[in-house]
Amino acid sequence: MKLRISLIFYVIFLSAGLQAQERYPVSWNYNNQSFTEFVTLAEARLPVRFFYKDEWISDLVLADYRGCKNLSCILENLFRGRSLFYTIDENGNVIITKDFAMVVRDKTQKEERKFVANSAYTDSLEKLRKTEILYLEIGKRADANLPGNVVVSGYITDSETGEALPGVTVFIQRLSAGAVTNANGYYSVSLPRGSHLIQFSFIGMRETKVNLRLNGPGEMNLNMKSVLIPLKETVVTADRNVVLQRFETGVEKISVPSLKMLPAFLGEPDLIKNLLLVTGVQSIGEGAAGFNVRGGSADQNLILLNGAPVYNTSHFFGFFSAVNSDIIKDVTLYKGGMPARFGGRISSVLDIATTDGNKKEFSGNAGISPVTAHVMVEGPLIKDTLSYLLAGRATYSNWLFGIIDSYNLKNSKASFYDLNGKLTYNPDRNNRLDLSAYISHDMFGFVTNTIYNYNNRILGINWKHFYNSRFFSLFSLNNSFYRYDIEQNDIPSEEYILTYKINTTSLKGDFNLYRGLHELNFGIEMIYNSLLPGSYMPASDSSIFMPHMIERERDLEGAIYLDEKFKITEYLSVNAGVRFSSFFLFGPRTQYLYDPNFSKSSSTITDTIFYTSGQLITKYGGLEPRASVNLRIADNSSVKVNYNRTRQYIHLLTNSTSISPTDTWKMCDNYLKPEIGDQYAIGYYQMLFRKKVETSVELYYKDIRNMIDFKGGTSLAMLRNIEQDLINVRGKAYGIELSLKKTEGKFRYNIGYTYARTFVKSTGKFRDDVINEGKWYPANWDKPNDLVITMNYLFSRRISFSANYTYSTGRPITYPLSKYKFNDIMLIHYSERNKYRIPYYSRLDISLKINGNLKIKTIAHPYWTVSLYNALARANVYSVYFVKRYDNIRGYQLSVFGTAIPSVTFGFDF
Amino acid sequence: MRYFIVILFFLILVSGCVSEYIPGLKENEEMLVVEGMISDQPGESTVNIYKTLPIWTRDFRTDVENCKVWITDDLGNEDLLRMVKTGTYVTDSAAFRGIPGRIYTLHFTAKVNGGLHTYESIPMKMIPVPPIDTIYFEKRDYTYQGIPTEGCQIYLDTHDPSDLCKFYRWDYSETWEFRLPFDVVKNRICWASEISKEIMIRNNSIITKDRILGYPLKLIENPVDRLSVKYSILVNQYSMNEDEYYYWERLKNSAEQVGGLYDIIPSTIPGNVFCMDDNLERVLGYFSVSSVASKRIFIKKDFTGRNGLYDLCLSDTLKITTNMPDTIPGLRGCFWMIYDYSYLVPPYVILTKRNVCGDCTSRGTNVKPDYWDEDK
Repeated sequence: MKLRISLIFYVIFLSAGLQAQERYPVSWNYNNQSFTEFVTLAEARLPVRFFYKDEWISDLVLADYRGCKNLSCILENLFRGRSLFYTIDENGNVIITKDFAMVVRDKTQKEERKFVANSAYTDSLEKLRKTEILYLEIGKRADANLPGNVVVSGYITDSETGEALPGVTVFIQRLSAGAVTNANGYYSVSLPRGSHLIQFSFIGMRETKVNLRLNGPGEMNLNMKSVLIPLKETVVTADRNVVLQRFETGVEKISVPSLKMLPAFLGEPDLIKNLLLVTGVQSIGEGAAGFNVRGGSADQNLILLNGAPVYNTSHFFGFFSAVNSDIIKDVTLYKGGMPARFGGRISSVLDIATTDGNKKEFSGNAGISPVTAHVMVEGPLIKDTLSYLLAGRATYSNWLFGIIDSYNLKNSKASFYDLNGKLTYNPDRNNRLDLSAYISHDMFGFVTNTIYNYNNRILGINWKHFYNSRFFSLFSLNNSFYRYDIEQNDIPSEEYILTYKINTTSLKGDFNLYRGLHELNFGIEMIYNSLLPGSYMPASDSSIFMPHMIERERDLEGAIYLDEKFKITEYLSVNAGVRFSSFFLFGPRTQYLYDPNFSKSSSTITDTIFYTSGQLITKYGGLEPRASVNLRIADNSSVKVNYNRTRQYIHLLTNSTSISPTDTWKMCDNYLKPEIGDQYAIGYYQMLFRKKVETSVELYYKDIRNMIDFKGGTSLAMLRNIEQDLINVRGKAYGIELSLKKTEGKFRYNIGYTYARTFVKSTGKFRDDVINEGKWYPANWDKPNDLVITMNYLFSRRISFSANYTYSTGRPITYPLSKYKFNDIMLIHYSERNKYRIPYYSRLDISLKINGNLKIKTIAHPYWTVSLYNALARANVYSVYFVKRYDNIRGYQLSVFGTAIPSVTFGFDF
Repeated sequence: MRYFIVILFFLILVSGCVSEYIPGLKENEEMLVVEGMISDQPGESTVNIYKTLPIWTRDFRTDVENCKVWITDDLGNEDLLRMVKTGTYVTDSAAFRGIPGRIYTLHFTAKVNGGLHTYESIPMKMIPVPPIDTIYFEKRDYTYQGIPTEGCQIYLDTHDPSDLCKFYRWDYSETWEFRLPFDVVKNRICWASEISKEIMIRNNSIITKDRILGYPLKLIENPVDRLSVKYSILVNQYSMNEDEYYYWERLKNSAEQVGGLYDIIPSTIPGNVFCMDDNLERVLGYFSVSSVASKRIFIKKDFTGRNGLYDLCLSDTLKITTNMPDTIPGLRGCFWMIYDYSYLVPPYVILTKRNVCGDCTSRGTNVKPDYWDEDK
């Protein structure tokens, strides 16, 4: 497929009529006059003023344009074939532009002026784009001398796909002022009247500059053009200043190009692994599903795929992320300041948006790595209006089992696939509808005894409607379904299948209103959850297994929120919001009551309550205040302070060190209280070396109430009255995160160091409910020192080298202290929970990416990625465990990767 | 099952990425352990009281002596136990025998850290256990080192018409006859015994019928020794209440699957005995109150498979052509004769250094168990 260079086009509405051009008769002889002479005369004799750049017109000489007796006729003739364009507004301003034209339309405006994209001239522009500087005037010339600042705002979109571009930096160097576009591509800046050079920059997009003459408030929309597509991932552009502009502390944008640039395990770029390079994000170990953000447990992360929650986030038990990195458009991780529109999880929100299909032409890519193959196609169904995107990924890893010399493994099998689809419908500028679907499946069979099946299914409809350019709404309806089935055939007469299901449907209405320096976001969210905590069914007719089911749980969650961003001055902005969330659990349900003087167990049940269908069992709710203040203390530094509270009504039941595939989600009930998290954070951000290097220091403290843990030794399977096995714990976490980032130039790097501690303590009264005598002890994921270095060097446009290095303290572990024999079985008495640590973790990965060719007009753009995972070949300890061998206890350490793992990936874009 | 997943991935990605690990631990915590069970069977019921030992030592227990141990029941009876050897306390078999339906409590006093502490179990009800219906086996074919081999899977069936017993525990004791493949050894025919080392429990409240069919008791994977002549297994079936079931389940979970990322976090499992004087002192072990039913079966059948046990006997031999071992001073006790070719010319014998090749009593007893011919 050929790549079309579509250009930045950019046109204005001015509140003048086209007929205005006929108003200026030219009565003098202009033949052989230089353009400068002509302008001098015209400005003297006519009520007009000219605006242009001297170098454009320096050699222009007027001829005798027969019959031309007015200004527009002369200019028309003069500029013909010279790629110069002009426009004359109602006030007599003659604006000359090069390489693009402004169209003046008759449109009645009240106070504000509007500039809206128009494609009329794009074709002629295509050949000519050299300069990126555009000239533009907003507002009435007459207002130019009024005092005070005025607001300029607008939307930035990708000229190629028509998608809104979030995270574009809008920057005015001279004033050190600027803004960043929000999720909808909207920005707003307050500037003094006068001339400004405004830069628009975004990774992967060609930087655009606008020379703006600002007379009054108005709107300026821009289409940005991406740089050459095949090299999307090695483009050198900047998003400096972003960090200074953002309100919240602890918000991380994961750039998709950089995600693909880093060395990947088995050649598979992976979102979650990339997240682990962010300061404050850790995981328990290699191949562990889930991640921990600022001391939160792994179930406290809300992972949203196009707005719908994803329950199972990994394939292969954590070795691969469930979301295909090919179709990720934008990823934002909120580890600190969570906007009020998000809720439901305490620690973080990972907001993943997938790309829209290409509206202009068919394109795609495909690739293979040692274990997976992936393909993606996209294109328009109706050009510029309706587009589709389909992506799929599947593994063919079974051959790996075959080559292993083990009876058990040879007969094992494992596979996964995931599919993504998206339809985007853009009937007009004010409406945008998209329909997205995601399906993933994992299967794993160990010999023939146990077969695991995991399924994720997410469907979503989003409708974005602009009431006017400053007010829009986003309605979304989505459904996320996750189930797993475990078939157990150990005892032939008692084969059974354990099924777990969770089904979440949510309806959300989100409204955004921009009023100059204010940005108001409010909305309402309703969530209905239905979950089957476990059903055990006989797997065959001959099985005598008794079918039984843990009662379904149904609940309704509702939330309303309001969030206001206000730039008080160029240097001080505040963001304050509040969310009110509520939770209602409904019957039918059987609930046991327990003797309050004892730990809950089957022997302390005092009564049983039966709730009928639809009867309210319990409800929770409360306010979740969120606030942040951003103070620019200098041109290149800022301080941010942040507080937020969040509530979580769902818990992941896990009694293993890491999230395991058999863990289940459970709603709050009479005994399981909602988790409440409070986070206080402060950050200092400083740009160095002409704003090329970004540094930051962030400090946080977090308090988490109502977390859960398990009584020692309880297993999850077959649990019916889970409250009997749970204990209540409280968490606290604090840390300091330092980062140093250079995101442009040939050599780019990112160094992050975190010192963070996370502690938990049991809050129960009874002996069974207490861990470590009720003292604070390190959480499973407490790894105080964490250093991450990533670097990337571009040798040429075809070859890039990247590396990343990770060091972290070993995770806490419980060691055996003494042993005893009980009924001839050797048993171990363990130390206090998490008193010891496994050895430290250290890993270096390197990769080299080679692009096959850089020509735009070829069928496909192939690329090779050669990577070496764990280049130091260090056998990092993943786990330490103790086994009885005869009558002795032996300690062993396990390493997932004992050696360096090379891989070669081949792929092509077409 | 979680364990397997982890193992699998280790093996895929690295073969042999497991290495020994010895943590540099200085800490040692001595804990009191109670191992007690009273049953409805005639004879003595035993309660052992001992302390844990540091993890890397070879021994297993330091017994606690001079405890006063007694059992009370819900009818107010009190039975004192006497110490038969250090740390072992038994009931008077003439005066005490458990009765299903009664509730028993264990009490004892022991000197801990210089002070005399009193300990007490929670009251435990004795639940009747049904008899074992059958124990049977099935041949299992598999390939061992490329050679077709037959294994033996032993199953158990039971049913409870009264529907009272919902929680079962089993243990077993295996005995097998084996013969050394050499003619002239000192002891050729012996009987080896082993007792079960894994926790076998069963929650029957999740089964439709009040019966258990085909509970897999034991898989004998290498048939050549256990199944070479004759094999016998004695299975004991115990009743439990729910509390005890969960104790064993947690014990099993933490004893059998610990350490992997998907395994449960290891922790010490508290039992049903508590210190009455010190809330913080924890006591390990359990006081069980069970009905017991037992059954024995014999297996005498041909199982194919290669016997690799004695492969090393011949590779480590000494050929003596002139002198008999008896004539070499000091040789006996270090070498065992397995072949005698002293009638050949030149005469020689084959000796082995390994006592398992030359003397079967190194692995068992040469006294035939009294029940050995019960199946005939």
